[in-house]
Amino acid sequence: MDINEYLKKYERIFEIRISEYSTKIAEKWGYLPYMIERYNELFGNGLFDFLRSCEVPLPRSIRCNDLKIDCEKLVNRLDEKGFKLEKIYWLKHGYKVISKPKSPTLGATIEYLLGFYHIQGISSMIPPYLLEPKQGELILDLAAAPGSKTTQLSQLMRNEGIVIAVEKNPKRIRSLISNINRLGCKNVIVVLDDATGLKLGTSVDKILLDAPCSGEGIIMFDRSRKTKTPITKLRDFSSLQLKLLKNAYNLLKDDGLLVYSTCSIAPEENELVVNYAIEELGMEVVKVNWFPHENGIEEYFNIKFSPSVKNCSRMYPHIHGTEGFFICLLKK
Amino acid sequence: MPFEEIDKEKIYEIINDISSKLNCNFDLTIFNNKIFLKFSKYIMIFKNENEILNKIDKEKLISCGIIFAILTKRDGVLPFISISDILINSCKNKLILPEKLAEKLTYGKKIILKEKLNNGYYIVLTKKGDFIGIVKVRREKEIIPILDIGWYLRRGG
Repeated sequence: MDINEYLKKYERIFEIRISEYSTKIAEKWGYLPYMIERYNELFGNGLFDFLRSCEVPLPRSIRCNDLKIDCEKLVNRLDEKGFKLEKIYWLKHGYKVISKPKSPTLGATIEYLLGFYHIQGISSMIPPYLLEPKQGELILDLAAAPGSKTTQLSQLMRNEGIVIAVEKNPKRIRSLISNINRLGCKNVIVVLDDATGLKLGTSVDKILLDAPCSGEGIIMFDRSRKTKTPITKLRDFSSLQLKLLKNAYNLLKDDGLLVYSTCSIAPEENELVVNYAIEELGMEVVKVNWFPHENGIEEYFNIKFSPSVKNCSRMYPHIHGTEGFFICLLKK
Repeated sequence: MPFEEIDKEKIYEIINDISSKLNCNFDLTIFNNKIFLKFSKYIMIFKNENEILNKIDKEKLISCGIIFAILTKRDGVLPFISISDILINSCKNKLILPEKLAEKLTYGKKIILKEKLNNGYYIVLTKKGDFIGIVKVRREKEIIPILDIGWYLRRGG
């Protein structure tokens, strides 16, 4: 089934009836009404916990770059400058910044400029670990800028093998190249291309697809996300994500692994997309359990997805103290 | 972006040029199995992986590996900040400064030293051994930043 037909089959997901209750709450909290209607469906009694959590900035977090420094040394060096770090026990290189000095800022220390760490959201550090990149593999990172996950893949591969980072926006390439050089990632090839039509003369071992999305999981960092995405634009995101996933599937070796992730909690951008990979492309969801999460959603507004979407993972600010995030490991 | 592979002879010229500027003695074996590609003014160093590079549309290739050197109008060829580990181990023109003073260089500010130095190019390190950048000493006391780690921020990293 092609993507347009697939979206037509699930068109009902984009036809949301908005109650008076949701309209009132939306007005009070500054959201588009259709978003509240969906959050009510997703969270029920937890709706206000979620809305409140989106009003509070999350603590910053960093990934220690052990290509350049021993992580204990980094903790001590930042401590001397007034940054108190707390290890995130389930993330090998992840630390929460629990207090910081007035100056310098986290993004302007000598240690940052030397590439000893990268500022990265907690949940956004998970996808590269899920791929378990090995030295010698060929890995593709689609929609790569600004390079947080590209450079993490390179770090986990100890600069062996190759990461091909694909980005279609020329303006965002600058930050990608800057981060690659700052963090000492010597095995990355950068390609300026639209990943929906990317062609390589070879297939790859693994793919990371952190898809462009509505950003409904990062409202605490960017309040404009409360009103930025009308339902028609959400459908456009779904369509783009499906196209990216389909091309990623074509570029992947048989038995290869693909991580699909977004910084969105929208089922339209997540389970709906993964459901296509399962039902139309024949991919399998690989269950992972080593980080805190909720299961993927099998049913949404009476629309049923493949039961295996429950093996995907969701993270929420009011439950896990992270940005809202969706992650799914798929096998071809 | 159009790029060209640089042959070994040309790369040795570039390495010699850098060596004479910064008084370096490079262990050339570290460049074995590497290729050098010139993208605009940047020369990049990458593992010798022609097989995969040949499969990528050349027009869409933007960078490979890290930046090894930069071609400048004023100073000619200079080593790039991303090969600081190689420079620290290979070059003798080193200037060691307290961190606070060295930090000024990352904002593009020049520094005036009390003591005299020979004019020329130096790499700047802090007392902890952190690489800050490459500077030019003028009039024996003026330290002019040429390439510094603040570049990463200025490039949006």
